[in-house]
Amino acid sequence: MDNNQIGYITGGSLKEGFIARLTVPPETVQEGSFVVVENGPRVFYGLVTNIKLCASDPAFTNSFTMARFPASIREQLAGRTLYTEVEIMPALMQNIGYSPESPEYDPFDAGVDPNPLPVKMVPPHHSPLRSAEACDVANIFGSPNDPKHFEIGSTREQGHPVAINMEKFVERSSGIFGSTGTGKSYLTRMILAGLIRSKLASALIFDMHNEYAFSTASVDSGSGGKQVPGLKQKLPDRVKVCALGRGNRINGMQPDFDLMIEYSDVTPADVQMLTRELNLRETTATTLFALERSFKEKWLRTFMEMKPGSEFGTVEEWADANNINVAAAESLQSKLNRLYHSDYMIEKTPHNVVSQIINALENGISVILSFGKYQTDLDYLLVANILTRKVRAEWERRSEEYFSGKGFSKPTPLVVAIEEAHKLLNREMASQTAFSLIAREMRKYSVTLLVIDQRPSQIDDEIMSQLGTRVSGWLGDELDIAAVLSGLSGRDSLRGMLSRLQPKQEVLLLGYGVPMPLPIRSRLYDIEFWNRLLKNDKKILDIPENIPDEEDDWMTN
Amino acid sequence: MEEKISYIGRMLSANSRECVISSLTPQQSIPAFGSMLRIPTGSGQPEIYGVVTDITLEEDGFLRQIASSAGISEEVIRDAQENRNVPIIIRMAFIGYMEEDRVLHLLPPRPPVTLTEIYPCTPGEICGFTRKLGYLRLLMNISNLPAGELLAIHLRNTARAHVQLGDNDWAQRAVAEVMDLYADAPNALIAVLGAIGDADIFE
Amino acid sequence: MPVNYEQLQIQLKDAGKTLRLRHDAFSRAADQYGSMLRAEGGRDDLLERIDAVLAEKPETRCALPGTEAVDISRPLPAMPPVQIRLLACDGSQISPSRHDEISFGLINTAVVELIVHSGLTPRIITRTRLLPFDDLPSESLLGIQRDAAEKRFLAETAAASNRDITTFALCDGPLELFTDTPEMQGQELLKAEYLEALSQLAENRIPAAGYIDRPRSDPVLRMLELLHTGSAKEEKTPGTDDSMLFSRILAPGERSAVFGMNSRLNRELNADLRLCFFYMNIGRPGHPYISRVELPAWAAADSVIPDLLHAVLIEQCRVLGGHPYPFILHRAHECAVVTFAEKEEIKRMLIREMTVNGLTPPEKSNKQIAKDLVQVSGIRL
Repeated sequence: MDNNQIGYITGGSLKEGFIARLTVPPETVQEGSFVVVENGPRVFYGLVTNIKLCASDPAFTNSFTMARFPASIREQLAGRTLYTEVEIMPALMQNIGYSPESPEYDPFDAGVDPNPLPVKMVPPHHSPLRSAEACDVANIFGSPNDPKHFEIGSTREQGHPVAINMEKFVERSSGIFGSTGTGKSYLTRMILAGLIRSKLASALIFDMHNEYAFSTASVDSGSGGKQVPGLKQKLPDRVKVCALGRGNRINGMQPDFDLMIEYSDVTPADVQMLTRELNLRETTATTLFALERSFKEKWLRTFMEMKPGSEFGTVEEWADANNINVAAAESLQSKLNRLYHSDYMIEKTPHNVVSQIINALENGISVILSFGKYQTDLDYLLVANILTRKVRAEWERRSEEYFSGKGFSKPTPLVVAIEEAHKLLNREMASQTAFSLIAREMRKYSVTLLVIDQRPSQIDDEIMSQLGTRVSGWLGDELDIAAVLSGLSGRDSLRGMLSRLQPKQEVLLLGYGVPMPLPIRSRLYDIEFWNRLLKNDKKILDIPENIPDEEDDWMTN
Repeated sequence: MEEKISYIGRMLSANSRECVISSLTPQQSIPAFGSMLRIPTGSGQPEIYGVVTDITLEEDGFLRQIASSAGISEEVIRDAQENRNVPIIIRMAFIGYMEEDRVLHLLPPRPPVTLTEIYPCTPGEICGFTRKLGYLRLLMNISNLPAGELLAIHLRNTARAHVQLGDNDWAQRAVAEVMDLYADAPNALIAVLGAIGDADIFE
Repeated sequence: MPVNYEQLQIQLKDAGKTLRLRHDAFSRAADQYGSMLRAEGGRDDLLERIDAVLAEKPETRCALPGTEAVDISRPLPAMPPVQIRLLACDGSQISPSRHDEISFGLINTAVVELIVHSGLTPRIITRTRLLPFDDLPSESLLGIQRDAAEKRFLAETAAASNRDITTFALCDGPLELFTDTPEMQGQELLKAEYLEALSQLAENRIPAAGYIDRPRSDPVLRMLELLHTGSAKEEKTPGTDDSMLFSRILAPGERSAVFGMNSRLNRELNADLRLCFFYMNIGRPGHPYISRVELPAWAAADSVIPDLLHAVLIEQCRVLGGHPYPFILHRAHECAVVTFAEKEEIKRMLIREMTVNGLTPPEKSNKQIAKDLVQVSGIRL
C-alpha cells in the first residue's frame, strides 16, 4: 500500500465520476486536486470535483450526541462513523503494465501503452487513491525541462510543476481569460515569453496599452509602482517593437520601427467594422461600396478630398452620379474625418513597414505593435484589423505556394495576440474582421490567435468553441464562465472549479490543448521567472531596477 | 479442601447458551454482574467461560415477614444482611471455551454437567481469554437485559485486568470492536457507548 | 394408592360438626376455669390447700402458685434503654438411616448472640459433632442427646461471655428434660450433663428461659381442679388446656403470674433450679396467641428478671410481625438446621475418606434410589 495514499475507491461510474473515501483529514484535499488511482497495471488520473462530509448515520453528526461520550470514545467513534467522500472526474488512464516486483509482471505485455488515453473503464472497489506526484504531472502534462514545454505554474497542493505543450498551444487558437485584476496580463506575458523562447512560432502582439515591450510601472497599489521587465528588454534579439505613428516613444523607449497606415490600406470593410466607433448609419455600406467602385483603393483619399458644393468633384456631384443619397454621403464624409486625420494616416509611407513586420515574423522574430498614445477603440480596431488582414493575406499566399509546390518552405507558424479581443471578435463583427477568419480557418495557414479577454461571453460563440488551449483565471460572471467552457465535456464540474478559483494567481488549464483540465497556481512574473527561463541563454540582459522581489505579491495588470 | 474455598457455587441447570448457578455465598462476596466465571474442564468437556448476566437473591418468607414489621432494630437488619445465607441464583451466559489450550469464542459444544463447581476467573485467566475480541459478539447478543449495561461493566472489569497485566490498549481495541459489531445499528451503538462512557473504562 | 375422596367426604362433614361441639364445650369449660381462677386469686390459702392434696399424691403434675396472685395479668413493661445480651441455642441432627450409602449420625448446634440496643451484627457460632459409628442412637434418643448438647453449648457460651450486661440464655422448647421416657433408662450421664448445664447457668446468674410456642399443657387447669375438688383425682375436662384459659384472661402483650411446677423432676432438683413458668399473650386484639415461658426458680424469684424477660421476648416476637415468634430463636433454628444439600455434601466427604482408606464406595439402598427418582429440581431455566 502506497504511503502517499489518501483514500480508496468506493464507487462511481464513468458518467458521474468515481467516488472515493478519504483516509486523511478532509482539509488535505481541495476541489480540483489532481489525484491518481492505481490498480495493477492501470493508472487513472482525475480531478477532485466535489468533497462531501459523510456519516454512516446522521446520528453521529449530532454534536450533542457525541458530547455525551468521553473524548477517547468520541474520537474513536468519529474515526469510524464520520468520513469524507470525494467525487473524482476521471480524465485519463494509462496502461503502464505491472511493476517488475509484481508476480504478474510480463515484460512483453502487449497491452502496455504509456500514452494516456481517455477513460473507458473504472478502477475496482478499494483501489488506492493518492495525490498526484511530480512525475505524474510530468507524465501527463510533459516535462517542464523539455524545450517544447513551458512551465506555466504548479499544482496547488503539492506545488508540482505543470507545463503546457507549446506546440499544441500554437497549433490552434488559444485564449487567456480572467476578470480584471486576476493577473491575466502577466500570465500572457509569461506565456508569450515562453512561446518566443521556444522558437516554435513568432508572435504578432497588439499591445493596446503598451505593456509588453518594455517595463511598466505596475498599477498594483501593493507593489508601489515597481518596474516589471518587458519582452523586448529580456528577449531583444527575438522581439521587434513597432510603434504606431511617426516618432513615438513607447514608455520612453525607442521602437524598432514606426507603423504608418496608407489611406489606400483602408477598405470599406474596415470602415464598416467601425460602425459603432464612428456612429455610422445602416445606409453607409451602400455609399462605401459605391466609393470603392468609383475610386478603387484610392476611395478614401479621393472621397475625403471632395469639396462641398455641387460642382464636379464635389460629394453632391459624385452622389448624384452614383445614385447615392447626397445627405448620407456628406454625413459619411464628415464622420470619416476623425479617421482620415489620424496622425498615422498617410498618403504614402517612406518604408514598407508592413513588409518589414512580415519579414520579421517570417524569420521567427516576434513583433509587438504598441499603440502608444493612440488609445481609442477606433485606433485599435482599425490598425489591428488592417495589419492582421495584410499579414493573414501574406501567410495565406505563402501557404498556398507551399502547398502547390511553388514555395520552398512552409511559413513560420504565427500567433496573433489580441487584447480586449471581444472588441474584435464580438458577434456583430465576427463576420467582418480578419481575426474571425483566422479563428475559423487559418489553422491550415499556420496562423492562430491568442485571445486575451476579461469578458469571454462577448466573444462570438463559434470562435470561443474553436479555442484549443484555454487558460482562465477567476471569472465572476456566469455567462463568462459558460463561454470559457463552451464545447468542453465535464462543464458542470469545471464551472464550480472556475468560480471558486482564488482571484489571484490561480488559473484553470483546459481545452483540447491540455491533456486534462487542471487548476494550478501560475508562476510569478518576476526576476526569478526570467532567470529560470533564460538560464541556458548565453546573454542575459541587465535587469531593470525595481524588479519585484520573490516574496512580493502576484502583480496585477 | 483448599479448592473448596474458591468456588462460588454449583451449576443447577444449563442449556447451550447459559446456565444457572446456585450459591450460598454471603451477599458481600457473590461475583459481580458482568464478571467472568469459569467452569473447569471435566467429564470430557472443555473449560467453559461465561459472564454473570443476572443475580437473583431468592426471596425467603422469613425476610418478608421481617420486612413487613415496623421498627426493626439495627441488629436484626445487620443480621439479615451479613449473617443470613439467602439462596443466590446466578445466571451465567457462555462466551466461549478452551480446548487444548486454544481459546474458542464460540458457544460450548455441550452444556456442563449439573452440580459442577463454578469458579471466578483470575486476572490471568480473564486476559488469556479476552486477548482476542470475538467473544464480544456473543456478549452483545445476550438477550433479556440491557446490552449496554453488561458490556460496559464487563469492559470496565476486563480492562482493569489487562492494565494490571500491562496491556493498556485493550480497552481501546475492545471499544473499536464494539463499534464494528454495532455498525449497522447506530442507535443501539449510541446507547451502548453511553453506558461504556459512564463506566469510565479509560481511567 | 390415591386418596378415596368419596369416603372421606362424609367423614369430613361429621368431623366439622364434632369440632363445633367440642369448641363450644371447651369455651364453656374455659369460662368456668376463668371464674375459678378469679375466685382463687383473692385467696391466700392456695398453697396450703394444694399441699394438702399433694400429700396424698405427691407426683401429681400441676402448677403451684407463686408470690403473685394467680389471676393477675401483668401489662407489658417498658423496655429499658440498656444493652441486653440474648443468647439463643438450637440444634438439628442427621439421623442414621440404613437406606443411605452409609449410616451416620450428626448433631449440629448453633448459638446466636444478639445484643439488644448495640447496633452490632449478631454473632453466630455453630458446633457440629459426628456421632461415633459403634453406638448409633435411636432417633428419639438422638433427639434427647441433641437437647442436652444444646443446653451445654448455651451454658458454655454464656459462661464465656462478658458479664457487664444482663444476659439471657434462651432455648426453643421446654427447659425441662423429660426423664420418664423409656429411652432415658440408663442414660444417667446424659441427665447429669443436662443438669450440669442448668447449674452452670444458675451459678453464673444467667437466667435460662425456654420458649414454648402454642403450648398444649394444662398445669394451671389441673391446679384449679385440684383446688376445686380438693382431691388429686382426674376431673379436668378432657381436651382443654391452659392456653384456652389464658387467652381469655390476658390482653395482648400481658403475661400471667409466674407459677411454680409440681413434677417429679422438679422435686428432684434443688430449689434454685426448679422450673417456673408464665404465660404471655403475644397475639393482637381479637386474636390472642398464648406462649409459655419457662425459667428457673432463682430467676423467677428475682424482682426484675420476669418483667425484663417478658419485655425482651415480646419485643423479639414483634420482629416477625404478623406471625410473632422470638426472632433470635428463629435465627438459631435457621443456623442449626442441616439442609439436605449439606447432608449430601457431608456424606460425599465421608465416602471420600472411606475411599482414601481403601474402602469400596458404598451405595444407597434400592428403596432410596427409587425415592430419589421422584425428586425434582425446583429451579429450572
